[in-house]
Amino acid sequence: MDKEQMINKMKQHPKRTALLVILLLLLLANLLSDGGSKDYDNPKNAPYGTVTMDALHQERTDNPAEPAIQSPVYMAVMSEINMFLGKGNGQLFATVDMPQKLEISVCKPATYASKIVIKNIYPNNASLGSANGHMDIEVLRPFGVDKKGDFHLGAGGGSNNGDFWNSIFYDNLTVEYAKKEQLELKMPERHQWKAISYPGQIVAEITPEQFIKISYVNADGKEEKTVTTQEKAVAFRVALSDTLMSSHVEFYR
Amino acid sequence: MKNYLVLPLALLLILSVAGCGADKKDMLAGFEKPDTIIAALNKNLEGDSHQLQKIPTEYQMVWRMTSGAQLSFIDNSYYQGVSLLLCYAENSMDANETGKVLQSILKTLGDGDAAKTIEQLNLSESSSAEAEYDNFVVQKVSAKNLTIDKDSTKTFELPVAYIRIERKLDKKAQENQGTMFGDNETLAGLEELIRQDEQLREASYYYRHEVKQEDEKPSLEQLIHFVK
Repeated sequence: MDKEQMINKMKQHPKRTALLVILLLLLLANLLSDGGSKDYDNPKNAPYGTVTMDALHQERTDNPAEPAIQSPVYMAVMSEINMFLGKGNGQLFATVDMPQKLEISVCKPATYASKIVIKNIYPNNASLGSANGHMDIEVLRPFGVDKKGDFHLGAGGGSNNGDFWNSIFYDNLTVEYAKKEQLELKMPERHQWKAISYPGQIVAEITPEQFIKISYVNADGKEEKTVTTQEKAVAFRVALSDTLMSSHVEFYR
Repeated sequence: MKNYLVLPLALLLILSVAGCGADKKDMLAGFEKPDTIIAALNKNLEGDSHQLQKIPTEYQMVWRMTSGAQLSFIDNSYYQGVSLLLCYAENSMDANETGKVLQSILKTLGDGDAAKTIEQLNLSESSSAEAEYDNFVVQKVSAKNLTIDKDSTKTFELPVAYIRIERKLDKKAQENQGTMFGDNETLAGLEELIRQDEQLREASYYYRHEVKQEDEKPSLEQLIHFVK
């Protein structure tokens, strides 16, 4: 069949010619598509590669920064915690009077508060008139944050080293969280060897950013000192322990 | 039309149709950079809260949405490229929202009845399920009712669900590969894979022991006065 005969045939059968052209175009597209995926072919001509996984491994990092978006696992765990915390309406729901005993531990597992107020702090005189006493309130840390230490009150101080009648004692009340000192408060000086109940109250509450805002409110109800911790916290547990210190603790939702 | 023309024409037609659909399926063949695949997925994902953002973690690079979902790449069970693992907090994304996200992902990968696949997965239930989509198998496992170990009765308890999107076995390629594979491709295989998720294990331990304090005993509770 020469060239002219072919053209004549095509003119005689325009529909068949059109179909053939379409199919040839499709074949061409197919071939081009294969050409585009030539990148996919490794030297062994395998149909599957390792480029995707290799790239992931190369980008892995040992010390990632705080993620811009938390993981679904983290989100799930934190929303479950919110169920335990309740509605967070700020209402007082429990109080504990830590008695004057050498050592005591009070605990109701899985009961949480967003704010605590500690009043009537009374350290025992343990060593020759100098104030001495400690208490801890347990804190739930966020998921993924190492537990370093709880919310801690400590009483201490010194004296003027006077004789029995002329001794003056200078008491300090310190507040710590995660083993770091947050506040150091000077308490009224004592002219007696027996301990006194400290005036004012310590207020600690979890901030929306999950830190603890700690305040000392004096006997007149005035906020004297305030600090916000650098270490994160989710909630206070209704779990306290003390050594040589008694107090009245209020727990708020 | 002459008979001798029919056969080659039919062959051409088949080749052409197969060629046109090849690109979508090749996306998970293991030859694309992860960023390229994510860019293709992001094009189809609707809304800013559903855009995948790259997040480095100590385990591997992952992509997260502000809505509470995470997408990562895992090895295809047959060592034929990669599979996608979508993970989401069930209390952050409801079944409807998850369905929309999944639909966008499936449509980027292949052509099929995505709505039907999603319906078969029972996204509103915390149970395992499996469905097909085009040349893919889509499996869902919820950690809430998944036992921590195969023979354990304790579950992870956390409302986190995982969806694996995996291309079906390419038997021809597998014959040429000559590699063996276990039962990773099954729903039980995915459950086992999720049991090994280190972050889930840690989170579950934290939830059960730190938050719920399963192992903690009360002491001197009578000293606590509850205000009514």
